[in-house]
Amino acid sequence: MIDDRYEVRVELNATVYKFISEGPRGNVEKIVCYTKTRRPNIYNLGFGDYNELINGFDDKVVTNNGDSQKVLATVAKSLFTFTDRYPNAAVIASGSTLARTRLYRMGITNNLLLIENDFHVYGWKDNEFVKFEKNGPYEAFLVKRKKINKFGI
Amino acid sequence: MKDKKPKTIFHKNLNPTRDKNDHKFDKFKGLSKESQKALEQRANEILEKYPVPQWIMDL
Repeated sequence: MIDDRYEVRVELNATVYKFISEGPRGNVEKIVCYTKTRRPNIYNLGFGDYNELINGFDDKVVTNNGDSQKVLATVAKSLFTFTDRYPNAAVIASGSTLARTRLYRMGITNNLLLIENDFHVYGWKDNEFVKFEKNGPYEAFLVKRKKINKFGI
Repeated sequence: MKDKKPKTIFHKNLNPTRDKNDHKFDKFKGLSKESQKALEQRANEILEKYPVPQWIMDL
C-alpha cells in the first residue's frame, strides 16, 4: 500500500513536505507539517490543502479527489523521512475533525504492518496512550521510531 | 520560446530530484508567520490534551 504514493518535495529541514494530489477535482497542492511542541522531541503532524491566500494550509477541507489512500500513504512516507532526520522524535496526530481522525486511523490500519516494523504506534483511549490495535476508537495517535541496536534488530 | 527548466535543482535541505510538479511550488517561500504561529499553538493544545508519558520518550 505504501508504495502507491505521491512524490514529495521536502523543505525547511525536513519539517515540511509538499505534494500534488491528482484526481477528478484536478491538481491540489497538499502540505504536511511537523510542528514542534513545547516539549523537546515531540512534534505535531498536520496536513491539509495549501491555501495561497493565507500562505498556510487548511486542515478541515475535504478535497474528495478520490485518492485518500494514496494521500495517507504519502503522509506515512513523510513520517519515515522526518524520523530519519529526527530519530528521537515522537509524533502526535489528531484530526481537526472526527472524520479526519477516522481517516488517520484507517491510514494507520491499512499500513500497520509496514509502520510497526519501524515504529512504536499508540492510540489515545480512556485518557492514555495505549498500543494501537486495528480500528480501535482512538482520538489521537502517537508514533515513535524504533531504535536499531548494534545487531540490526 | 521559453527556456526549458533544468531537470534537477539542488536546494539546501531539499531532495535533489525535481519532479514534474515542482514548478507549482516555486512560489512557495515558507508558511506565513501567522500560519506558523497558529500551527505552534495548535501543536501545544494537542500536547496538552494528549500528554505523552515519559516512558514512551525513553523507548
